Amino acid sequence: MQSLPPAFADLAPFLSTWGTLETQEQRYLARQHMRFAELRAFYDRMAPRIREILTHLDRFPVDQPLPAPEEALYRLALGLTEAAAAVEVYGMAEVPFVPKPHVVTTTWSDGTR
Amino acid sequence: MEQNLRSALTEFDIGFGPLVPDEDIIKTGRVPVDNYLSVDRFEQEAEIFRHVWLNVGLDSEVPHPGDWIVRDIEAAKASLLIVRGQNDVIRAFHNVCSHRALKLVWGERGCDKQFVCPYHAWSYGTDGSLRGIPDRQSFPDVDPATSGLTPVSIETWKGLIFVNLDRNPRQTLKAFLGGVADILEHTPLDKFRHSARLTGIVRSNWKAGLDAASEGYHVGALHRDSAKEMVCSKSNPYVHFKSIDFFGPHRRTSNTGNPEYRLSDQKPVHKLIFESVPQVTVAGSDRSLSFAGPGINTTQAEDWSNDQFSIFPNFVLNLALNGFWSMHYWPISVDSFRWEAHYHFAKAATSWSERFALEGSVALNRDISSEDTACTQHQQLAMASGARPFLQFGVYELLCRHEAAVWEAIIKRRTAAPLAKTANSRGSR
Repeated sequence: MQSLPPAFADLAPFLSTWGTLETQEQRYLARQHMRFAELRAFYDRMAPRIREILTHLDRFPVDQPLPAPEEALYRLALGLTEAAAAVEVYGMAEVPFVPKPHVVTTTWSDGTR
Repeated sequence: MEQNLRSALTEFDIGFGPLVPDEDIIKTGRVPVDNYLSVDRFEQEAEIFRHVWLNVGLDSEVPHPGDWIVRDIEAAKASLLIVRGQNDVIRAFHNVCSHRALKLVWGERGCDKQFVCPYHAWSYGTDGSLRGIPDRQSFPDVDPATSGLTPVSIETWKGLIFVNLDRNPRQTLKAFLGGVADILEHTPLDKFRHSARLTGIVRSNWKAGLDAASEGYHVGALHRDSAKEMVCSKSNPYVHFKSIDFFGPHRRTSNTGNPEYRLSDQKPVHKLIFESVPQVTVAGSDRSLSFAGPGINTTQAEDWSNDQFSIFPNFVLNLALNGFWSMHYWPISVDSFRWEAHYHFAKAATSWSERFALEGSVALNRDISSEDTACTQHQQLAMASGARPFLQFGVYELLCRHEAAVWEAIIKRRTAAPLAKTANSRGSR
């Protein structure tokens, strides 16, 4: 059972949706299969707190794994990137007229040597 | 515009001798719909992919000795293993075991000192040499010295990895890139080593995908929910290019953004993302890493947003205010292609909030590109109806005209003198 840092415990209901998703591909797919009202409800709770969430996470070094509660919180924050696209840009869950499921794989590379 | 149309008829050479872009297509903008539907034509295009330089990756994707990536070139039915050797040299091989011609590496990326075939455990070094044959005495006729992985020509330039599947490439990479290389040589392309690579399958002809990336005319309509406010300005609502240049089979436009675009308080998450990390596409605000240098933004436009290079056959490179992004259109079949995009950032995230913003930035750009790919899928279905005999490109869709005209010249030449014959006469087969 995932938990969140105490200051953010009220966001726990969203963990079942976003807490297990590890990649942008998974989050994008999850968004496509959610109703807009669900995304909107998540957005309405998360958006006012995102700066506070990131300030909390920024106390931890970015090049090391986060403690489990902070990792769960970060996954909620990443879920917001998808919910915000739906709410702030499109007013609907998916990108208009994109056939579902739309699978896009994202891979990050850091070539700094 | 007359001058632009004349320039578009400049001779080019992709290694099969000098050709001139099809004059009718350049002048009328009419391209037969059949070019997007014909299986025969698709196969002729795919054949060209086996003989020219293709950008398949980045030096920064394999930064350390032993780092490898696998890249598919579906048009050539090829899987390539690209690996940085222990001596720091990046090599490319066909990802095929010398024993029973099995796909050797089944993953997508990693770091290893050797590659072991899953079937019978033949093993290879990062230099492609055959290292081990289990039960060696059962293969008395195999000479390990000549049984390494099949090499593929590779050149790494400005951080970009190009390969050429022709066993004897007809041109060097520099000769192939021509004037494009002269301009890019002076840019900081190779300084942007933190990147996201996105890829997905699209159900349309690959050229329809490339067309959508080759003009700004569609931004005001198709991207009305997303990019329109960043790109379309009062003075340039249809996003006409400021200048256009042709470099052999390649081309470049210089483009403007909307100088009045402001991050909206109505979009607080969007705003946070854009303010947290430099945006590498069109809506940047931090200009300290700008690509605007010699040879770029040659009209000195105040509202310059990006120079777009369209590199034959399938590589679109956008140099923008704070970084660059690129897109590739990989043909799979006449009505499907693999879309690939790279967003290149100057540095990795130094905090979790920056990491969040990089992920958010890429997600927003992915959605904008998805508007394009959704559109071309609908286009493909409609084209197949036969309702229209040709597509009509406008004068500010000149990149699309040029692309079609270059291909028309190549296909006409190929029909007159098939490639295999040309290759034989050169003794390269």
